[in-house]
Order: sequence, then structure tokens, then C-alpha cells
Amino acid sequence: MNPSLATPRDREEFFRAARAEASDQLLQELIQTVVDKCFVKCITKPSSSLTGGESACLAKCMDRFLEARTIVVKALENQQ
Amino acid sequence: MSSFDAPDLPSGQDAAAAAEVQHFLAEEQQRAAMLGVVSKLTITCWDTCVTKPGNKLSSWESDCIGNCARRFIDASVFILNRASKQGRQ
Repeated sequence: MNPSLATPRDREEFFRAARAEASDQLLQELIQTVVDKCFVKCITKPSSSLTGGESACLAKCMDRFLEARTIVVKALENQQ
Repeated sequence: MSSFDAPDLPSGQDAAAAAEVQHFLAEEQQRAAMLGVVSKLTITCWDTCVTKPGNKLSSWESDCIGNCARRFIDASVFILNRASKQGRQ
């Protein structure tokens, strides 16, 4: 894709689209990380279907991971 | 920015337009670098501090994660400083 940057509007649109793509990529990566980390914590004895306990664990794990991320972001913000 | 090729600037370049794009790219690069550190640190500190996810993070876990992130930055600064001193010898 080769966007024109000739006009201010072109540039604005390019900036918007580039930020949106970066944001999508970030979200995708975050979700993949949560899946990887929470699978390991919660599915210790894989069986023929996801149990209620496993689902509950995944939900908790996901929420806790996102909280952990928030703590990291705050710690880094304050450190600057 | 993986699906974007290097943008075409108008021929007979408007210097201000080029600066605007330059600034945007620099800003986005910096943001990406910062978010990279956040992602890596979150993983490291999660592994270090959280064993079994419960209904909320315990105060021990929260403190651990915050300390982990801050000490990581301290360690980076320490190592960078030491490396630059050694470089001057």
C-alpha cells in the first residue's frame, strides 16, 4: 500500500490508519500472550473438553494478567 | 506498520509536510519501543510474581509486580552506565 501524503488530509488519514493498525497489532499480541500464559496456568490436565473449573480459571487469569499489565504501565510511567 | 510501504512524498517536497511525517514516524517508533518494554516486562513480572490467579491480585503480588518493573529499569540503567564507563577505558 502506497499512500499519498500530498495533502494535510492525506497525511491525517495515513496517521489515523497507521495508528489503528499499530493498535490492532498490539491487541492481537496481548491476546496471544494471555492465551499462552493462562493455558499454562489453567489447563494442567487436558481432557476431552474445557471444564467449568478451567473456564473459571481462564477468566480469572485473563483479568489478573491485564491488572498486572496496568501495574507495569503505571510503574514505568512514574519511573520517567 | 507492516502493511505500509514507505510513503510517497509529493515531488517538489513541502518541507513542512515532510517534517510532519518524520515527526509522526519518530513518535510511533518511540511508542512501539515503550509498548515493547511493557509487554516484555508484564510477561517477566507475571512469571516471577503470580503463581495461581485468584479473584484479585494479592497485595504481595501487586507489590511484587510493581517492584519487578521498577527494578528492571534500575538494572537497565545500572548496566548501561557501567557499560559506557567500561567503554571509555
